[in-house]
Amino acid sequence: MSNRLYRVARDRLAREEGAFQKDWGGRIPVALVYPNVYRVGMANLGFLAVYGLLNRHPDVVCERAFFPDGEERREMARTGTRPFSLETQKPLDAFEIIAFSLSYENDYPNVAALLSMAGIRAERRHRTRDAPLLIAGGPASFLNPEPMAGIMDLFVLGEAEEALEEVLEQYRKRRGVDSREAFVCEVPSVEGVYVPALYEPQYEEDGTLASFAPKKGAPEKVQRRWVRDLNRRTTEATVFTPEAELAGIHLVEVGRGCSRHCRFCSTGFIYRPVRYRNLEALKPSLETGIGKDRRLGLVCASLGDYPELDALCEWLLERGGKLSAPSLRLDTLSDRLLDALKASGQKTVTLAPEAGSDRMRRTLNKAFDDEEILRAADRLAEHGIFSMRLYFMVGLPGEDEKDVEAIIDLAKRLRHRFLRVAKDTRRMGEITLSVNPFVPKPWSAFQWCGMAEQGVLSDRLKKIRRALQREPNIHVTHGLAKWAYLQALFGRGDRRVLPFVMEGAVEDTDWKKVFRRTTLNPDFFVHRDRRRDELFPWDFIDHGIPKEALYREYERRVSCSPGTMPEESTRC
Amino acid sequence: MFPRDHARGKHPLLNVQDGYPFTLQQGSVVDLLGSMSSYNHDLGGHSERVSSLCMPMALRMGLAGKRLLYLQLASLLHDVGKLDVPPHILDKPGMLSLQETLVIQDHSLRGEQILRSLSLPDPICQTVRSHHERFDGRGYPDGLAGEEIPLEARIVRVADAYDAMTEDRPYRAAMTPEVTRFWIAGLSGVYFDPEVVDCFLSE
Repeated sequence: MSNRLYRVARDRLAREEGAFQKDWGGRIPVALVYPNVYRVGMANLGFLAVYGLLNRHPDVVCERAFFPDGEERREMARTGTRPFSLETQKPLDAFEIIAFSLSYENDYPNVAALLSMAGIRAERRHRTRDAPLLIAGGPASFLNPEPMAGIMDLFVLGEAEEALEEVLEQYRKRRGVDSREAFVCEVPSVEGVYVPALYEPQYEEDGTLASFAPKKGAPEKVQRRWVRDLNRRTTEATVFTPEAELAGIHLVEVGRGCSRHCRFCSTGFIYRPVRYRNLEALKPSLETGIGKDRRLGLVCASLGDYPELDALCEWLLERGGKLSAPSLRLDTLSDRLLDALKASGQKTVTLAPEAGSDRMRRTLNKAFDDEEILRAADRLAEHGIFSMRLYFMVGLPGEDEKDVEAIIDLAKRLRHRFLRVAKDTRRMGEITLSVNPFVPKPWSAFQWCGMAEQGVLSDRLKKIRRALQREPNIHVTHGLAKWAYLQALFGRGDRRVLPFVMEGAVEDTDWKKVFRRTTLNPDFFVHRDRRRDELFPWDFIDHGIPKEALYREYERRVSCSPGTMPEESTRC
Repeated sequence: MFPRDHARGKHPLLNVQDGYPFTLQQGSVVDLLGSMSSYNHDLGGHSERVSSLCMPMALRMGLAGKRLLYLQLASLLHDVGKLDVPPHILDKPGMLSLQETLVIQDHSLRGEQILRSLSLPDPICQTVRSHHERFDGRGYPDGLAGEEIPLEARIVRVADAYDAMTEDRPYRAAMTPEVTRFWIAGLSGVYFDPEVVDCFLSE
């Protein structure tokens, strides 16, 4: 037992605002786990929203738990302290249900590590019936839950708002009547619930999936849940802490999904159809944020596409509300939005050209030309914003050295563009390039692509860094090829990658050694281009997407054709 | 932002007279349809199919009498403005330049002008003008949103997109009905009126 760790937890609680403190008596205790550190989890709106959803039920007590950071883990090992919940510092195995919020594939090994630290067998087949019920949700799970299938008792696929209530309802009926098995067998009747034990994958000789058969009672396909009318309920952060990555920001969800359908991205598909909240419905949340003197973090895949954005910005300007924008599409930078950003004191705007060359951007169905990007910089400068952060990827399908050089070239040209204005105004900001290896995602048009080799990725990242390190006012940050490799493995793997998930926290593990030791070939999941008709581990999820629609987009990348949606290519 | 207020009808390509196989005569609707069929291999067929897709939707949405008749005419004539788009742009394989896109986009305004010059009833002209408005207000020519767009135009919009996507064009292959319905459903509320889409998909 480490008193120090308990004290840290109590200090954290004391600094928080909005946490629930409930008495346990008779209530269903649920531990809601974010499998990364506190600072990161507390900036995750989905996680915080589920915390609110569960605690709204009078008969549920939901407490949060996080993955301890390196120092905390060492302290736990030294003192024999098990992971515990934040609110009442109870060990995880004291909870009836442990719910995991999965946003990021590289957190999967943290789940297994946390469970084993808590004295709970991570692999489902080793757990006894008195172990807590393990459930999971979050976007990573409805992209592809299979790498975690050997751990979880059930998944709630899709948006949690309605499905979670229905699962709880089923659970209440069975609770205390000693029939966990009965509950687990019955719960697939709730749309969106996936019970991995009820499915039996078979493999071809070449290692690909041959079939994925449901056992009796389980549906052949699990429908992803989604909320029809977002206006009925707000989704906003209700717990605040100065320790969070986004401290001082009041997160409010404006919309879900995206109508743009860039070929590398799955947002437009797994949050389909795109939905927005009415401004009127948002105002109470925004008022709360303004009242607490927080910046408003408007959460939306493409905020610039929000139909009432100008009205929202005007309203904010009138009230003196400050906003904090996520990355913006450079073709949606309206005057109102830029005025509002400026008035909010936001000095940096984040844009995502994703690739350096026109050709590559057309491949991605994000067809801005260089001139449009440069003009966006002009527009920012006109509105007094002199710093920009730019997202780029390397290792995109069909990319060559010229495309990488185009990133460098574009960064330099943007700097010149800013310099021109800076001469008059004597102000010069910074251009930050955030470059990441491209990881193909399930439910995107690029789900058939293999990922580029680590050597290629590292070389291209290095090339960009080297070329720009001496340029004044330009900074480069980038991800690491080795983490991207794991992300691809856990993102597109099937149940057979479980042994890798079980290896332990990502940063504590010597992955080179792990991969040398294993008989399973991880490259099979990471680097292989998929056959057109290949059955994917995630195909059992019914997102309402004909595979043909995605494949058509995949093929159209080659000719750099615009996306399939109306307007761009219907010419009707 | 995409320049939605480009100089209407003033770009140079529109004023080119030679090379046009068609000059507008005092003509009836039938003449116009005939001209459309002979101007472009698919313009006539497209008009008829769009019209027949519109009718069941319109009935379900409660349109009747004169409104229904006007919608029928408007749906037949919605692309009449394409008579002023040079064939090499209309069927250009590959990508359009910004200039060419503007020329194509002008067809809804041009269509309205043609119909007004023939003194067709106002609702027909309005529908043709607004059949490329988007429900989220990012369409053209006026950037109308939601209910500001005439219902008739919102209906034509869905039928028009469906038919275009399910037909082979020189610049892209046809999509299956299933895939097309998928895209239309996914862009409900963005491009299309959700009520019209529901109505269309439940046919």
